Amino acid sequence: MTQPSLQKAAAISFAAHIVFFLIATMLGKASLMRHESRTYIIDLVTPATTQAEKIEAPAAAEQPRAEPQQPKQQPVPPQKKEPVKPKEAPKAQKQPDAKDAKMAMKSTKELDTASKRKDDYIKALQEKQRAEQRSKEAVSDLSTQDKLKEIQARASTRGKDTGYTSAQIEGIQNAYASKIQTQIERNWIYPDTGVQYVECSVSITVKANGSLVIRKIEQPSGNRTFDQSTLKAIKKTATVEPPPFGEELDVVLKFIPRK
Amino acid sequence: MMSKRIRHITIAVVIATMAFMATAESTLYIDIVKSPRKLPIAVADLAGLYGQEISRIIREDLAASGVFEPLNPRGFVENPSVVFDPANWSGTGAEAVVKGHVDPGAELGVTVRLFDMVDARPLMEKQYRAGRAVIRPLAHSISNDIYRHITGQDGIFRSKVLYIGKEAGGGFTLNIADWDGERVQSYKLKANVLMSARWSPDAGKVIYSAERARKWGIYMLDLNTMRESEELVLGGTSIAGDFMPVGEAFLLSSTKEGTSDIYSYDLRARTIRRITKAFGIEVSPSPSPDGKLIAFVSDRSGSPQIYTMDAMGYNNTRVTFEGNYNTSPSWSPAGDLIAFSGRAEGGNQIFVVRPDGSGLVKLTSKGNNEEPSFSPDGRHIVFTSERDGHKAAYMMRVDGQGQKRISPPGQVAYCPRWSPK
Repeated sequence: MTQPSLQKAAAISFAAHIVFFLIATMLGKASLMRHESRTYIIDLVTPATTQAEKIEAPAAAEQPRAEPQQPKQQPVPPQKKEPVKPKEAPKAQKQPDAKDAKMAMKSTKELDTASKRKDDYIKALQEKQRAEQRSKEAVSDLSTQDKLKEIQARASTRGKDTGYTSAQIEGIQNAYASKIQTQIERNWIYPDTGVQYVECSVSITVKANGSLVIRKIEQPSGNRTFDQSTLKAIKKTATVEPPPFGEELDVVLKFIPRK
Repeated sequence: MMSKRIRHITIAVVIATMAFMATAESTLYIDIVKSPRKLPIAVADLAGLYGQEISRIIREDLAASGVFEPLNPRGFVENPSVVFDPANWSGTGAEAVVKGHVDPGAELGVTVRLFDMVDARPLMEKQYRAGRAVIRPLAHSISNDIYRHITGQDGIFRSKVLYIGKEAGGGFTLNIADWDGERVQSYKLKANVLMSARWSPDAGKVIYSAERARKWGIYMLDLNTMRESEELVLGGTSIAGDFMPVGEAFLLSSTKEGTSDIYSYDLRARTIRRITKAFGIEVSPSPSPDGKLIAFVSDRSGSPQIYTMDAMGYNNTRVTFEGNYNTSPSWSPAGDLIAFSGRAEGGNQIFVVRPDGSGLVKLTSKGNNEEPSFSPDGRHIVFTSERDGHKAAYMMRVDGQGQKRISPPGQVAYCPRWSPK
């Protein structure tokens, strides 16, 4: 894609990082009381997470347990769902904030993680560019899907940090939606019994592995036969291509009869 | 302290908003638009005596319904006598599978199972008992059950069609056949002219107009006792129309007071009531299924056209405006359509139109086609056609598809009427 997106991405993520720290700090400060005992767990955790060690090194070594989560979360924040981040973050942050001069610690850490992140993003972007090129040719290509997933996993919410514009995300989702649509439409059969059918909406979940789970009929058509035909279409389809961002996806299917 | 708290609250609000946006965004909405198509169904030959014949009739029924697409049994790999295994049928593309067996004996015992392929579960298991002479009605009953289990609606495979036959020597017969034209029962009726036969609402009686000894009368045949009764002999011609849906009464047209008008005849009170009072010729009355309206033909505009009026003869509304010769209206059981015969391109063709005059559709194009009558489910129409050089009874689906002759080849047949149930 275009070059500016790299800088933009870095800038946005840097800003997001700082905001994140601020939130964490403030929330952490509010609850000073429960930090003491955690220090003991540190050593057990640190050796296992090499990435955390590297990042942790220049910073204060006192909070390995907190830190490993943090770098992971920041450049590679968990998944799509925003609310998870703030909820977990304060817990992780509590200790460092409580213990020492957080400002100093943060600034060093910030620098370090920032540069590290930059590298990550360059890599991610390269990958993304490659992936996107391919996805243009064939989004159905599994390798493309894997790439997308990978990038998406490393990036944060809806690809914001990787430089996905919302238009791009929409494009990927639309391509995915049209594939589901084709597959289910192929399996949907309802006969003309002389009854004037009206549309029926069914909500489903597309699991991360692509399997379809019927949640409920959101809007029944009023005709049992017709409603059943829509459920059968979903059951017959059973699995579709895994969702593009590696996460399960809620879908509302509206089955519309055409005369 | 205060400002910090405010900040916390602000942040919490921001987070909540973001969380809401994230969840709101994560639902994908997909529209799936599709036209209906016939349901592929595998009807395996039932194991045992007459099994093949029964299954063949079921396949013919389901195919003629226009709802199903029975698959060719040659493609079936599962032996009729083994237990149903969905794996054996997945390659056929069938949505449902019918299997079963016939136990021979003085009476045939038939077990039929209907399986849903998607859920791989039995939808129906039913046992039937029938004499060997009634294999066809037995098969039609099975078709009805399959139809109801899959569509949720009643099938018409046990309904009947009547038509008047004209013998080579000039005699007339009243013929009552299965819906597929099979198992015809013919009754010779004395008449110089016989026309306009109509079913009673319970399908137990038939009325018809006959000219006997130069007098027109309306007669009724009780199909249970096979006894005929004279209902009405008036001056002029009296032509039977349809029964009213409720109460024991039928409509007719009569010229007893000059030009033809529409009357209602009460069978219990044996009284006649004039409904139309206009100057023109009014014929062919057909009540709507709720009995509130009557469709009829009038030449008051200068040419025969279809009109509707209420049961008292008021609120006349013209229905047809296309063409200059529209006759024999017949109301669909749901009341949403009126079928009629209209002159188009030099011949008479069958049309359907909504009672308000909208949605006119021409259904036939070959030869002269007249006298339409709906099936009880409103999905089929029987009619008279001269496409083979003489009048014969034909059937088609309400979209004009699947046109086929149901009266025996070579026989002159007209006035086909579908039984009301």
